[in-house]
Amino acid sequence: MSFMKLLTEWPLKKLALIRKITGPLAQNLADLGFIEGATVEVIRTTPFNGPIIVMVENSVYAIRSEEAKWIQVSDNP
Amino acid sequence: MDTSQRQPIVGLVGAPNSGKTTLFNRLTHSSAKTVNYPGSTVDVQVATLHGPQSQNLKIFDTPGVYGLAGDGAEEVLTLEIVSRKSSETPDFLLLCLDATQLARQLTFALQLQMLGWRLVVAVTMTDLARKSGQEVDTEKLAKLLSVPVIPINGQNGQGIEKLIGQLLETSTQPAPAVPPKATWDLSPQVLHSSAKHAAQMATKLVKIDNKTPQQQTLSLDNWLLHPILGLVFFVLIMGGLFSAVFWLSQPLMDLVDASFGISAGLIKENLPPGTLNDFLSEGVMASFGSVLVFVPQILILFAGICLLEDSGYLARVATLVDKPFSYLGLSGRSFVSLLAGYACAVPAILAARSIRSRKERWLTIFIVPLLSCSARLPVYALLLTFLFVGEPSWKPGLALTAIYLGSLVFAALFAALLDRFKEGDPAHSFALELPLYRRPLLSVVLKTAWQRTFMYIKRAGPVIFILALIIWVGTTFPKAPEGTPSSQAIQQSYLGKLGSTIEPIFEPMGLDWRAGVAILSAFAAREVFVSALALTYDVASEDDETIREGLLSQMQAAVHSDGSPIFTAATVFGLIIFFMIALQCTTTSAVVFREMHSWKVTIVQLVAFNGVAYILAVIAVKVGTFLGA
Repeated sequence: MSFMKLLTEWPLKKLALIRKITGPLAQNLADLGFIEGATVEVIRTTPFNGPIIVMVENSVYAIRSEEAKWIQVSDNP
Repeated sequence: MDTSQRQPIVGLVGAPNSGKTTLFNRLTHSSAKTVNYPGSTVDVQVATLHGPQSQNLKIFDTPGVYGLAGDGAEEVLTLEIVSRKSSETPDFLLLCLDATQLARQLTFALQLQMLGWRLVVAVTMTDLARKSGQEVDTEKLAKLLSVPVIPINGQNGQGIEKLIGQLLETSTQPAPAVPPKATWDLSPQVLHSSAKHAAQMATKLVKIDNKTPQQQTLSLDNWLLHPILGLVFFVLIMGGLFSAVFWLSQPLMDLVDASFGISAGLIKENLPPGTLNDFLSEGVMASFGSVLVFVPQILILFAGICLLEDSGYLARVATLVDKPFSYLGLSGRSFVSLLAGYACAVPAILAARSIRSRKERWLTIFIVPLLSCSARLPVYALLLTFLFVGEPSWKPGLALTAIYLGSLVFAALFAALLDRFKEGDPAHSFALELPLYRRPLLSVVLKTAWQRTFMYIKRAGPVIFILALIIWVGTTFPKAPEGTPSSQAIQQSYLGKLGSTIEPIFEPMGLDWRAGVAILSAFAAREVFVSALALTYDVASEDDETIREGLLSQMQAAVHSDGSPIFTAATVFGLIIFFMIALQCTTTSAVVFREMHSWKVTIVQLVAFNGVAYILAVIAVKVGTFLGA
């Protein structure tokens, strides 16, 4: 198994696999499709260090880094 | 459950942006609004099904939710309904599934089945899915879920009839027993496994030909969410919207204005002379004419906001401003509320329900009334036309943009100030879906804009009429002897006498009693300021000029008792400042109370905004006069 990293530390435009979601917002994120095993990609950042734009499966969301830091990802095997 | 006693009810549920509202409109032929922004259904809408057996089934539309973990104010509403805690529980649910988002949205289907719901599934956006290279196997979906599944097309209505047939059929079937609450297992583990299960299921159902279905949207976002260009586009788009309010509306406004002038003339000529004739031709026509002339501007503003919502751009703007807004204790979601506030504070305050953080929602609701709503537009339009008389129309357009941005600055200052006094709140999710860009349907945009404008007219109309009556009677009686100059006649009228007692309040603003009466009338509805001014300054439509021109020339001619002009650049600027901040709308206060359940907030807001408005207006007038404006 490859190294796990926080989504906030993951390079831009590089596909990742969600490995683990913790924290108080785990269920909210799961409802949106952020679940273990889903593929995720940070597709862009926004001005002023604003929310990051991520694509999970087929949906695109703007999420704050406070949310993204609960998502642990690793290389797509 | 005994369904023979009453009309069966089907609850329409689905994720935000899943085409739920379009489907609701199709099913009911109702005029519920369709938007492309998460969270437009702020209240549950009820309608009967459209069609020959329409009376047989009632349907309600619920706010969109992604799943059972929602925690926003409006999500809670839907969750109450699906967990059977609401006063009226549907007999079964119609679940709207977006074909392009099947994996995610199936989770909700599974969760609802865990709660024992009978479902009918409508698969929407199948055309969009096909275009992006995905084919959804709806027959297989029906088998896997063991529920009826019907693909529909909200744009052209394909499949709607079949769906209505299915709904009617399901409504006549006996309802299965609802599993007792004790057996519901909604622990995070179970909910989580439903998400996993859904994802696996979706892989069996969706054939994907193309790995990046959102190419078009992604490349547009390269521009619109670009660190620098994104901000440039944002300013251009907002600036364009507000200048359109002035440019595009001009010919329409002239038309409205002229038609009121002509009607007033016709009434004057054709009715027997007397009090009724005077009241209709001068009182009523001047009142309505002076306010309704601004309807085209309001229509264009509403259409512009609707265009931004429906295209999907609004969600991008919310993303762009999230960080700067977070310094004020707000979030990007607040922007959607604030933008709606430019049209009307009431829907804007309701829209704040989609803000998940309690504190951000509280702050947003508090500052929304500071945004310059459409009721203030007639006031600004009159005052700006006065300031820029005879100058090219881009100047008042620019000034209006400045006012609109200025009101955002005031709102930001208030928010930043309040943020210091309000303690933080627990973790909440911001996550905002960026929907695919869609070409807005012009017919939908125009219809929505017209509906909102009509609501505005309907709300303001009776107030304008009643105040017109009061003010006209107050300024006309007791009748002065023939030959008295009209300015003196008004001075000696009932309202004139009352006005002179309140004049001291408005003196620091550089105004006389007539403008004072107009400001007080504006507490019934802001736009009444214009019609009240038209009455207290006795604007009668002459043959050679329209009501608006008449009002402008009366304002230019108005003088204090010492002969100095009342309406100078300084006093008009002071008035603009006053109207930017003052909270003069009782409906707004009522809605704030309803949403916040707090007298304290409502009263503090009223006192603070009106107090600050008065003080700043006086300061502006004093400084302006000192500078010689």
